[in-house]
Amino acid sequence: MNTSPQTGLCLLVEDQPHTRDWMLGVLDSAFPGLRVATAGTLKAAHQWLDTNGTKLTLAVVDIGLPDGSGVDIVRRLAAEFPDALPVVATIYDDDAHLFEAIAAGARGYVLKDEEANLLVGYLKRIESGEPPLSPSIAHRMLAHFRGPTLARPDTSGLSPRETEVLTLLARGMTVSEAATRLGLQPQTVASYVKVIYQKLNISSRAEATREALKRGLA
Amino acid sequence: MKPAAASPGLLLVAVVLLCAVLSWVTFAAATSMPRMGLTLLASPDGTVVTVASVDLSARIDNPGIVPGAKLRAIGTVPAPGSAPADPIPLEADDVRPEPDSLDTYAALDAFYARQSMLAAILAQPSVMLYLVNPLTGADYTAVAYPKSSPWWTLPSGFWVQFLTGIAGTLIAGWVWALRPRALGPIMFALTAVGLIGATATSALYANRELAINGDWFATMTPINHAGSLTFGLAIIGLFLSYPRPLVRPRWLLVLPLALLVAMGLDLAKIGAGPSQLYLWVALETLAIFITIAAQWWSTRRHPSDRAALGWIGLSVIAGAGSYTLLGAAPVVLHLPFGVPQSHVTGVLVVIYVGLALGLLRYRLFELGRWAYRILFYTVGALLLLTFDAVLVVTLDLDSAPAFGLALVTVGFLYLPLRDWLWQRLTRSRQIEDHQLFAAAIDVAFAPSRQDSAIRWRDLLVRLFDPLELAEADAGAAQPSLTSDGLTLFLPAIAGAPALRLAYPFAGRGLFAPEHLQLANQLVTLTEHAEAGRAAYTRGVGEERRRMARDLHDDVGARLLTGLHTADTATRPILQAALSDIRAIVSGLSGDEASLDRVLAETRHETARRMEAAGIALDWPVNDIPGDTIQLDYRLHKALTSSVREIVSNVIRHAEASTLAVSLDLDGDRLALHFADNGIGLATTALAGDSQGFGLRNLRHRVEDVGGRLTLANTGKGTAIGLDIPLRAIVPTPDRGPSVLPEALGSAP
Repeated sequence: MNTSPQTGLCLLVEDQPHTRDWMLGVLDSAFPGLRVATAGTLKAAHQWLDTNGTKLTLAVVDIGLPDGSGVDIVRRLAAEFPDALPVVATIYDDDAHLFEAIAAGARGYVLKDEEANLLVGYLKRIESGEPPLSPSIAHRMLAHFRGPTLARPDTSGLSPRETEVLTLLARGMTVSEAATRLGLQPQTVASYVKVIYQKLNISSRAEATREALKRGLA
Repeated sequence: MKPAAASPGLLLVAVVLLCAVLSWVTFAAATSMPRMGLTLLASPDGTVVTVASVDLSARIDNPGIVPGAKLRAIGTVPAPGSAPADPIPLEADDVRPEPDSLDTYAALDAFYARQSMLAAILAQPSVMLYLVNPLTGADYTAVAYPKSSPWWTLPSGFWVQFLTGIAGTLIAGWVWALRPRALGPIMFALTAVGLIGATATSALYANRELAINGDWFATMTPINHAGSLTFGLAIIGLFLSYPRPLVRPRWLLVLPLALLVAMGLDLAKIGAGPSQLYLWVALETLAIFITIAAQWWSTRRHPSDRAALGWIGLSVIAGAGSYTLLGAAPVVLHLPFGVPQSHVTGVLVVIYVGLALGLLRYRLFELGRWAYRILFYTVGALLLLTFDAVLVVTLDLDSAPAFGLALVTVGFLYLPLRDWLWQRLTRSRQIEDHQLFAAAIDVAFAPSRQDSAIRWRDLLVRLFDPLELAEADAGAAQPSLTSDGLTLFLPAIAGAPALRLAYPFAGRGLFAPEHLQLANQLVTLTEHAEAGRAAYTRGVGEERRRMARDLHDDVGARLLTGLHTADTATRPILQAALSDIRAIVSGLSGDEASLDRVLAETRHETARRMEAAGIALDWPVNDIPGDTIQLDYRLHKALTSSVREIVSNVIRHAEASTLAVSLDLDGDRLALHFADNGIGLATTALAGDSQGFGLRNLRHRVEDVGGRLTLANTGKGTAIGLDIPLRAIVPTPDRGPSVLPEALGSAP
């Protein structure tokens, strides 16, 4: 992030007023001084991006919006505003709900029913380049990168180390546990996870669209 | 080094050439015989020779001959002016077709001598015939002009015997050319050598008009005898070596030795007389039946050999049956159309065709029912004849009423018996349609794909009882029979791979076309049932996804709103509710999860929560073979919720700084041990009295799926044991009536 979120601009896309207020509090605790704009619908979020997108540094996006899926916003952010950090906020951490969002370009996700203090910690970690990765999503990623549909293995395939990390995470280890197992620094493992996120986004831009259409989520 | 085997084509050409040469020689001999154009028969009283018919092409001077006239003697036509030489009176034996039925060798020699004398007269351009008019009884003479006969005038008896020999030789030669080194076809070819030797000679002398040169006769008779004996001995040899070898090949050398002995006695004129040939033939026939019986016994565990023997047995039965019908029936029933013995030889062709089919193992699996049918018809016909003969002989009935009586009796007694036997033999080989349908449904609607495959195999075993059931390469989409019906191929279906079933009915039978039809029906029905199940499962999936979406979008959103406005007391309850919804939604979207995935998720969640609570977690990542164990939704949820509840208790009440989790997988039970270093549980909680709401719920949940929860204070903290069976004790869906076919029966 070139611009520190402390002084940056954030877009919070959330349709439930109570949750929105709560999340505003969480964001304020995590990044004091961050300016936060809110949108309750997909349409409003797109309109806001049309005018303020370039100044954006962080976006916290709910997937289930009244007029569509928040994944659309994530996809647009990844394509048009690479300086912004898209984070998905959801109440479900299973692969079916999150894989598309990550493939679309989300750089992290948070669970909205976590305690506020935990959420603050997770958001800070995501911001510093340590995104979370649950075993089910790790499984899904492994399957994706092993899959025959992969078009360009040279640019978007996983390195052996990355595959190793992903395998350990898929077995239920945390990043720090995986680091201990591999004899690496936790930050190093976290950076692998970040790279895996990006590679998934690169390799599956076209594919994710197709997949989402197939599952009827897009 | 073995010489290269000649190709079947070349061998066949050689056989055909041999037949052509033999045909030419036989034809040349037959057509060169001078014939007067008469058909001569011995009178019924055995004393006089009668003219049965006169050929239209016969050239005979006036006054000609009417059929029925007696031929007293033949003599030379005197030169003009000279006195007629003494004629040679004829005897009934002179027209005897086969001289070997004579009693003594002396009689045989006399027969040959008379044949020579008569042949010498017939060799003249004209012959004086001494006749008796059948109407007036007056003696008179006529002159006949014997001439060589073109092929179309040869008697029918000649044709039947000649063609039988050629046909038999061609059939056997063909089989031998295909498998020239196998013992069975070699023996079969030897029977043909005997056959053609016997029929070619017999065709010539048995169908002579009156006489042929005695020396020729004396040459041809031993060839005929040797041929007959060779034929029988080779059939014995055939059954000693085919379908199963009964003796070591060197014992087969006994057979030519037997031939040498018999022929030696015959040529040296030692023994009971020329008719001892029939004794030899009778012995051979007996030996043939014994070897067939031995083969029947020997093939009892080899269904395809048994079926090959079936062709041969069938042909022998059919051949012997029709031989009796054609040869004996006219005599017994006094029917006007008798078939001469020489014509009955033609029946041998039937046996040759049957032997050939048996040796080439042609469509063995279709044979069973036909063999039984033909057997039944033949037995019926023979019974009819026998009964009729008994009536005629013992009760002295006229043939017409006797035949009627026999027909009625056999009809009433034998036909029901035959039907009963037929039912017995073919009984319950059919499986009812509704049973078949139930079986297909049973396979398709098994709880899992593995169970489907197991039930499919079970069904096949119950239906066909094969000795071998092995996976096959996926081939055609249709069942098919191979190896003469020894194996049945079934395509991949119901989660099972393509299968090859071999040695059905405990190795005692073959797959017959009706079994193939059954398999086809079964595959089709199961495919339909599977398609139905797939559609049903799709529908269930759609419905579940809809419910999951509603839970997520509506209930989840409301709970979340509640969570963010709730006080600290209600917050954990709402969080637990959200956790449950999360589990329900993931349970709804997929039906089964593998154990290692569930454990990974659980561990991940626990690690996150421990990290947040500042409690150190010691939970080694185990290398359990969890991906082969599938948990259904109830187990999945019980396991996840239980661990969540235990971890919550540790976080809220234990005041611990470490939590150790270990895991044991023992067969189909999973044991999880949780140990913290906190303050321990209250004694009342341990005693089971005032357990907290959470603990009581936890215990219920675990016991619901047949698991066990143990609580203990270690002194250094709390120890909790969670013991869960990996197969849920759930009521399985009703499998419907237990199907089938105790006795689908074995193939005939």
